[in-house]
Amino acid sequence: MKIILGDNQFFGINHFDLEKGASIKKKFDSIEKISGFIQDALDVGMDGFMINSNDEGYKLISNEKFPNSKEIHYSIPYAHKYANLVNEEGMMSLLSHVMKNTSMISNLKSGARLVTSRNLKNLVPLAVDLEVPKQLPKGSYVYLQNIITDLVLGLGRYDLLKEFIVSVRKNGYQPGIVTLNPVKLHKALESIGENLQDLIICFNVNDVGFNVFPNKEEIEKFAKAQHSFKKMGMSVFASGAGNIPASIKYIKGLNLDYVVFGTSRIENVQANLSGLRS
Amino acid sequence: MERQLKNILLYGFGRMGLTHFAILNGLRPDLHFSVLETNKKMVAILRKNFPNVLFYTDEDKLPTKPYDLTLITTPPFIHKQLLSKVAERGDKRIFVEKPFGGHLNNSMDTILENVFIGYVLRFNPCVQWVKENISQKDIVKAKGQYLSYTLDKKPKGWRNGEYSGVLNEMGSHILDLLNYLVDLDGYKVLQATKKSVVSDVDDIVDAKLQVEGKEIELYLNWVNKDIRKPVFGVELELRNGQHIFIDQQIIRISEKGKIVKQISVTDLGATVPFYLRGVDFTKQMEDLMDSAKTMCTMDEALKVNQIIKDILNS
Repeated sequence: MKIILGDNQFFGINHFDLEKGASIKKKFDSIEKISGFIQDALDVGMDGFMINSNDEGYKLISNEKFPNSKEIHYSIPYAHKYANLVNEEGMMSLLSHVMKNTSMISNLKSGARLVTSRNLKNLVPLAVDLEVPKQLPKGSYVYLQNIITDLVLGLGRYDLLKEFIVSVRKNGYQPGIVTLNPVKLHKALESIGENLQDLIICFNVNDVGFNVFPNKEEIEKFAKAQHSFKKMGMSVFASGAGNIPASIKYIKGLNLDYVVFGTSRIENVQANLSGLRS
Repeated sequence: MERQLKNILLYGFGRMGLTHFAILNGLRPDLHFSVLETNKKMVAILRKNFPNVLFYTDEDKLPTKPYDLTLITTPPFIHKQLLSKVAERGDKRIFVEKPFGGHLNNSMDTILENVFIGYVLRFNPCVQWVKENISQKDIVKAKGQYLSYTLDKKPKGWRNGEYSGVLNEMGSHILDLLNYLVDLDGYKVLQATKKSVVSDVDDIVDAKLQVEGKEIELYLNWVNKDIRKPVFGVELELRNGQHIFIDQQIIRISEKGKIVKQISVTDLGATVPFYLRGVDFTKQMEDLMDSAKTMCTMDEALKVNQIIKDILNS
């Protein structure tokens, strides 16, 4: 099982304790501090790190170098940016924003197809082009964020997930999908007829059932089963709500290929790493 | 969920319309959806992408037969006008997105019992715990706050006008929570300060109200650069000296400055069959499709709008 450093601590996100999240954010108030912490975590044995395509994440990947032996898991899009855009200028602004800001080559291919077909699946390659920095090393993982995955699941447009997987591969990366509805996503992926061997599905799983949907039992069953895709557990310490040794024991009893966890202290990185590897 | 609610109409297919559509569709794949969206370019795209949904751009083309459930998710300045039309058609159940027209809609001739307003924070598990475990008569003081970094530049269109402002858009949520948990009947606005920082309307609001001897405080700020993810918080002081703090994730009960009990959303075991944007969003749609016993009523929403008006005018 590979162990990946998460990014919530860098951006003040703590799903369990909002005040704690805000105070930790101050510790990472520059790209250099974020990069330094990641380097330290990789040095003590983490297999890689995950980062979102928000302003800081994009700059970090564009400007900093990390060892080739370590994995980068990059998640797109930064949903808040687009939510604000839609709030202010309406849904149509989203399309024009993506088309205006993507490369000319992408626009010539997918942009033209989007205009003629009006099919939203032609927006997906443009969004991948827009959100992924050119400096992201080939072979890295590019994930679809859960807010978009779960919206797509609700809309019933499973072909958009297929398009995402194909677009990521075409750009030389490996696909990942974050979701809070992994059982539903699994069913959706079964219907798209795509090889899923290089795909990682990232979902919440923890021994206290915190933010686990539809319920702990179904997720546990899903996490223990054999699948053609790889599975990554997130929120494994229930954002600090769980007991660490019990959480580690629980996680090790599942059938996960990856675990991602965030922390603001390098001692915690070491302790969790040693617990998960023992 | 009520199986007879099958034919659903959405007015507006913006961010909230899309969210509610996706949740309902994720919960109940047997529903039939129609959408009225006046943006013709957008509808041309939507028709291509959602062939099972009936899209209309002209209200006059809508069938005259009443719908089982109608969701009005348009900008607030047409909430009232659309509600009249929908009610006249006889739609069985009507959902209007908050703030139900805002402070400019503070009274209506008829209170309809089948109309519900989308105050989604009510469905937060921590809020529900307080509602079930703390009696309104035991509350002597309450404070509600909302912090976010929603605006970093001057908003455009109606979002920079009298239908917007932090009080209408976010304060309405907090006032609904305070009304839901404390009951603001017979309130009096004691003092209020409003500040424009980025927009031309209120961006920071600080207000004090009084309700039958209870002190109610309100603090709203949607231009706070230190906040990444919006946070709401409600603090209650009880007759027995206990202090209760709630936010999206936690309930802390203190006595004499010491925490005596802490309950997290984990302890509350909140779960939903399909998750999108938050447990509360799904729970809201589940309740709307079922008994609607937790939903905000029209009467309650009008009260919230009247309070907003009084704060703005004070």
